[in-house]
Amino acid sequence: MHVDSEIRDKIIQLLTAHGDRDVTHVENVYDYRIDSVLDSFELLSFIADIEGVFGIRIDPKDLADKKVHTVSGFAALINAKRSVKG
Amino acid sequence: MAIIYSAVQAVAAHFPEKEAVRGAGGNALTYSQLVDLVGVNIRNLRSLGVSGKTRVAFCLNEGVEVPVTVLALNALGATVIPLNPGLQPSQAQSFLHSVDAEVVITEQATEYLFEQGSSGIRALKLKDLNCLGGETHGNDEEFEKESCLDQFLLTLSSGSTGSPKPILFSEVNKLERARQAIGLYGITNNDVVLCASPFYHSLGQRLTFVSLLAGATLVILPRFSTRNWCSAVVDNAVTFTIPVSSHLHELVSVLLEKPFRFPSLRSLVSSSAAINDEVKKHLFECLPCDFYEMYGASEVATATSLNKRQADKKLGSVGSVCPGVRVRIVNEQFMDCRAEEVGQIAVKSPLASAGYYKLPHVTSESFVDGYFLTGDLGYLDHDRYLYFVDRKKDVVVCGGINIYPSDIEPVINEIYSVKTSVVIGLRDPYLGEVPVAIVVGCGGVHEVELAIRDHVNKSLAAFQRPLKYFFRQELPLTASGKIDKRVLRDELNALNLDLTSKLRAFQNAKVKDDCDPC
Repeated sequence: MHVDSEIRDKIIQLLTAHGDRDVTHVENVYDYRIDSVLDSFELLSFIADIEGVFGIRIDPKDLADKKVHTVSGFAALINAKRSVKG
Repeated sequence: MAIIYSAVQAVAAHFPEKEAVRGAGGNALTYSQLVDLVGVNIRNLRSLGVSGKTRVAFCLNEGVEVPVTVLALNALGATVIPLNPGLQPSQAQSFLHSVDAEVVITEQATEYLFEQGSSGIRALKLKDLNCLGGETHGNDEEFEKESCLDQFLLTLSSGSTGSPKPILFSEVNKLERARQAIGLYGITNNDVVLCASPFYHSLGQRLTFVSLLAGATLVILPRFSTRNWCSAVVDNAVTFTIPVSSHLHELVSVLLEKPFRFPSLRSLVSSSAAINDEVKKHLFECLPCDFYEMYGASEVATATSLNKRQADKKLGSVGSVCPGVRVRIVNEQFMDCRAEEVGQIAVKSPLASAGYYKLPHVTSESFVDGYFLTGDLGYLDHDRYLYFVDRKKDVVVCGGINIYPSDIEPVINEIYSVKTSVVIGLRDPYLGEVPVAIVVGCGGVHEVELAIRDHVNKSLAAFQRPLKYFFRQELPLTASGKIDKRVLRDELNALNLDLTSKLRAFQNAKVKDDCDPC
């Protein structure tokens, strides 16, 4: 599945905003685990922002697969949601 | 005398080789090393101009550096002001000014908070205090200790931009509070105490002082996760800990599924957790260790405690009143309610704080005739067991952290397309309550929400950011014309939104992988 780099960049931008840590230049950032950057509160507001920014709804069951816990995995999830919506 | 540091020195004299504190990455100090390192810090702080009565904030991630810094400042007679590293720069600056901080100690990860400078406040770098390196020999006897530490510690009760309420503690306050916990839970120098709460939270302070003053070993967990907590308990043979409510919620399934997984654990205390009676019953029945529930507030420390024996008959309560503490249930006229009649919980305690720093009006409104008005509603039964019912104050308690809508609403209202907004707490099965905002705006809802989110992300700490925004044409009003938050709360609670289900799903996926190694 093609994942738009724009989505990944937006995720990284939001990760940086929510985690108060610039992850833009982290090596292999696309494989970065989202929960390694964000605590519980940050993760909650991050997911809420993702839904708002991309106009999608993420279900809890979408997050049960650990594959989506990386930047790339999350981007793929968003892409899939947008495709269905679009 | 700096009595807390002196007490730790006395422990060090008795148990020099005993491990005092363990942090992440194998960092550990014996009591002897702790005192030596504190001595180094004292000398460095002095040479950098810190002396008695200096107001020193620090913004450090959790580790062995925190107790070292606190003890060094205490020995110098300085006022200790722990700051939450999760604050936005503007919030951190606002806090520093609200407490008249003169110096702030930072480390690499938190320097950015103070990059833009703050007039009259000097920034010191942790590495310059030689915390974990350099010479550690000698002692600090040559250093004069201040005699009066009425202003020992300032804890900020709200992570706010608008109206921070710094609670002022004397040394005696903190010492006696530690002694109360040591007595209640029977903590000795044989204990290993796990602290998974940050020092800027009053629970983190309690666990730190309890452990060091009892001569126990303090294990600092810098970042909580179920896996980290389980590993920390097993690897360090932890005997005692107090998880905050959000941590306890995450731990309940692990604790109940395999209650014998933690044979070292002697006592577990539930603090400010809105756990339901069924879960509480299971914890009391299934855990092989002692389990306690407590009720209290930063302003007055622990007011009531419920133990296993009492839970048989008083499960729904938060326990009986602690020795030396008085609890009243009062009505609007500050008259006593009858037994089982709901009113505001008022607590008088010898452990009460001195009030709010430089906020005499707030202090006099909160303390009446020596009783602290908790803002909580509850009742006492005929046996004088306390039952918590609801909250009276406009505060959202999310995962044990107080969130004040009055700090969030003005930030949302700064957005041009927002006419007005209110923030309320919705019931949540995981965090107790979570903040949401109800907004009356103009323009496209999606655009307004994005603008608010962007602004809020820059202006408020993560724990203050509403999890959901509801848009309305107008807000319900009370007879007196105020926005009726109760109506909004009832209406939205009825939707059973479960706004933390995604977080739990995220964490459960991780726990499945994480649990086995525990």
